[in-house]
Amino acid sequence: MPLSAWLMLVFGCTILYGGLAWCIGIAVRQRDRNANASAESPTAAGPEDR
Amino acid sequence: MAEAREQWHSRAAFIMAAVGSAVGLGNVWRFPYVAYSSGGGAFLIPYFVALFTAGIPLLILEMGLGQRLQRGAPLAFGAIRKPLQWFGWWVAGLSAAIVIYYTTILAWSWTYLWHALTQAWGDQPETFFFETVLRRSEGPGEIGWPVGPLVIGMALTWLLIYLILRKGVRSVSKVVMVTVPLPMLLLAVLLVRGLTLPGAIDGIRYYLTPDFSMLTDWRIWLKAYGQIFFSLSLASGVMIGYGSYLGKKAEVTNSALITGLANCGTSFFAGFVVFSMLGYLANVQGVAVPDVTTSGSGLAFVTFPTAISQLPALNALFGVIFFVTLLTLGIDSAFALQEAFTTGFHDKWGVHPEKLARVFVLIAFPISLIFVTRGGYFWFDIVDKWICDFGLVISGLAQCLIVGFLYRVREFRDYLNEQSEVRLGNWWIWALRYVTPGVLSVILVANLLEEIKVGYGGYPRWATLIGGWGTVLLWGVLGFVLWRRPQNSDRVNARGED
Repeated sequence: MPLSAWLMLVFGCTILYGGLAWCIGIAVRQRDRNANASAESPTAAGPEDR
Repeated sequence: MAEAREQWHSRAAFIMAAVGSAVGLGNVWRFPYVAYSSGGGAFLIPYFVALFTAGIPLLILEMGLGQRLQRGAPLAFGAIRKPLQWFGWWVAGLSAAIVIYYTTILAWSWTYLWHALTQAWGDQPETFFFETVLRRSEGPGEIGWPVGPLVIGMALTWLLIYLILRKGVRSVSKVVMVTVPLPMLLLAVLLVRGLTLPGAIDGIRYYLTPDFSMLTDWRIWLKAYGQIFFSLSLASGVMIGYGSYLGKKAEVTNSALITGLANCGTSFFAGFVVFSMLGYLANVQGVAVPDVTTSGSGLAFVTFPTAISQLPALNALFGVIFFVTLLTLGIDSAFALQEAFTTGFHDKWGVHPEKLARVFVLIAFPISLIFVTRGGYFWFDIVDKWICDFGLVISGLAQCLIVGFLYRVREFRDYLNEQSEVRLGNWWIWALRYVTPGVLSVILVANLLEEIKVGYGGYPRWATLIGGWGTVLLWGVLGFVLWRRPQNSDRVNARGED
């Protein structure tokens, strides 16, 4: 495969799968923060946070 | 007193359902061909621009609107301006029309799943598809009777949809945990098989090698916007309906980003599966990859079966895997579309999800049989063309203008930002007000001009008038009737509306 095809492969993977991993990472960190907050104060997070 | 609105089991269930709805057959049979024929790897540039300036902004709009107003499309638009409930019913009606003809592809897939065990298509898969499976007539005027095996496939599809939707989002929350990851896994199996075949790398070279000169052609950019728009299940009310089952404090923006990226990531991935197989097929037949490259039903039911027959071993197994992949990809989109329509009935008249699912399936199943008659293929083609090229484009355009100019959009953005993990800036408002409507207007005018000048597919005018414009306009009339029917008094009180 030509170098340009490899570069587009890296470009596509970085934006799509890198972006996806970044967004999921944010969501997971937020979930952990919410879990910690609800452990400290049981009324802080309810079912509506889903 | 109306009961509390159902909610998704978890945020993961909502995202899975949204991804399942967005990821469909088009990711496998349309994107790879569009990318290959529009500059190869270079197509990724307009594709990503379209994703971030139109796809994801509209996805955020739809999910956010449903979440904020806690209603499906009809009542959500009705809450912005009362007469817009009519528009909301029309949008939901489009999703009902889509699910009725979309099930046809699933009926074909069921039939092929059976034939895959023996590769019954032999060495003439095209003749097998059109003459043996579809028993296609000469034209739309020659309808004939429904084809027996396809009726069975259709019945199985509707039965599955009923079973999945009978408990509303509670059952959907569970089903998507299987039906969304399963096709990804099966695609991965097909990719491993494809990459180990001779000639696979030639196919992938055709898929990825960029032709940057094509980026100066405005039609390529239009194609990228069209691909993003249709691929994300936008403008049919699905995401508004799904968003309406989120809690009032639920996060929307990052969920929309995850949905959009997962959908496009699946398309990109599917391109490797398709082109590795096409490379192998070209290698076996001693022709160039472009000679075997195709898209749509031709790819799924003619080219891929040919490639499966030519595999060195385990042909039946890989045939079954491929058609199970198609079925699992399609079923999520199908029940999401039905849910988008029936949510309006639940919101307005409090109809129970089980009754909604049962009544809809009992009405839709007989109607869908039109598409498995001998002339059904032509009607399927016409209805699909009009719903996608006119119905959904008009719906998307109107949604952007309604929310962009009639619904305090800055306040809406601030509302989303309050509970969001990713903050929206002014770019989102610009995308909704100007970029997406601008591009959709160009697509709509181009489609209209083409239809007026050359017609579509060589079909007679009466057929496109009935199947095409008739379907789109019929939902305008039915939408008006549904809008004018009074809301149940307990629903009125519960929402504090008149």
